[in-house]
Amino acid sequence: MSEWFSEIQAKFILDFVEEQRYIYIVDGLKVTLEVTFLALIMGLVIGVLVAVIRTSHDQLKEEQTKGLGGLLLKGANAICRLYLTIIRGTPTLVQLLLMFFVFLATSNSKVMVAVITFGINSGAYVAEIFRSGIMSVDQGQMEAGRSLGLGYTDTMLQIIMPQAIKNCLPALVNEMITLLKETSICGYIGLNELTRGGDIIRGVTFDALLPLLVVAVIYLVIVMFFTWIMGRLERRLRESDIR
Amino acid sequence: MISVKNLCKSFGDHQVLRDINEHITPGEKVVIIGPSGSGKSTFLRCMNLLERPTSGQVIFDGIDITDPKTDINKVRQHMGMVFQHFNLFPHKTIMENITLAPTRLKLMKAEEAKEEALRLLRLVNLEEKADAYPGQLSGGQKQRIAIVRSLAMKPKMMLFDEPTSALDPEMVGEVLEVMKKLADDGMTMAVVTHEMGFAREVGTRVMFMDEGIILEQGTPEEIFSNPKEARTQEFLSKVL
Repeated sequence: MSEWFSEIQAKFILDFVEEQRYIYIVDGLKVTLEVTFLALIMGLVIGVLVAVIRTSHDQLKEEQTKGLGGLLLKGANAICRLYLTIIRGTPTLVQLLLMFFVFLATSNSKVMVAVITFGINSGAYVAEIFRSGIMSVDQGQMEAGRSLGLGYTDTMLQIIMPQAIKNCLPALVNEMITLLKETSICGYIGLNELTRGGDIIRGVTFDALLPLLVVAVIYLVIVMFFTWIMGRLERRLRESDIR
Repeated sequence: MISVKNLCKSFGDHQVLRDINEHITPGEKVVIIGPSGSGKSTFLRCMNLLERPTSGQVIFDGIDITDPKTDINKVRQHMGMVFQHFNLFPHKTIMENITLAPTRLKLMKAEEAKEEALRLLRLVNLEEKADAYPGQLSGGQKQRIAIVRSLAMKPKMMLFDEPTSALDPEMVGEVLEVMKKLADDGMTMAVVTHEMGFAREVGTRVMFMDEGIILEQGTPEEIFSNPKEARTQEFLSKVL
């Protein structure tokens, strides 16, 4: 037992302490968090925009979509649908490689390539999550808002959206978790994020267990933290549910 | 107050309203009765354009609201509507439910709106619920709040779409009580309901609708005691 323990200890020193190899993990974690955070924001912005366009298009009645505004909305809706189809229909890794080698080949920031790819990718999923959230709000809420003389946008912002966000919060957290973990494929374009950091150590020390285990535990802790934060937020949003 | 001219409404191939012509004068309390599927609710919802008529005109206070150029939001500020399922905003307190529209639309300052809301809440004896959420209220209380929410906009006319149909029987009375008070204060009202007692007592005019037309109308006395149409007689014999 003590033999096994000292062996692990030796490996630990080799993997993380010698030549300050822990830096690979720390720097990787920073990149992972940076990419996830920026992509998350981008995804939320795209997602809300697409969801609002899609639902406005579906909800406004035929007669109200006439004229230039209606035409614009129809065009925007078509673009959104195409976007959703392409992004959800192809693997994220393929999108990342296409961005890196083709569309953003001239960019010299791998972080930027990753943020844009994951932002666009996550936006598609967030859009559908938001759309289902909006549609889960009773139609009567819109009618009540409108019957009081509030406009469509006002009703959407004041009445529908707050309820929609509450309804889709668990699914949104799920998407956040997926996004965080999916950034681990950034190694394919040579971006030194958390997973690649662990993998580099493995390549140098020929010890796979400890570096990858540490990487796994770090992801797990971040995900648990997300879940905890959202649990608190959800409880606050539930205030109005007390009976 | 409101005129409806050649009003038709179809959902796909199904024609719900067939060429309705009607006029409601200020102070009238019009009660619309009829079997389900007769178009009562659709007729009411056409009056504030929650349902857009397929053809025909709705003229409110001299404004043709079916004209696409009319700002319907402005018109709706003067027309309250109460729904069968209350449709209170569940994420907002009772106070916020009532003051949201008047303050968002800048018709009242926050303080003023609050005071007005409290005055109205006292009127329906729900002052102590101001800080509660809709989920904590009974059906009857919710509907009284919904009426107050509409009244906070100081409407010229109120539309009621089966306001007591989703309530437990014991709660129907408290809502009808508020509506009676409102009627006594001279509010112009159009009410779709199955409460024949209310129709008889409060209505100044009763319309019987069937298959998308107003088949028969008159004073409550005329309709309930001496209906002329066979279809009206049949309906009343079932519900009275």
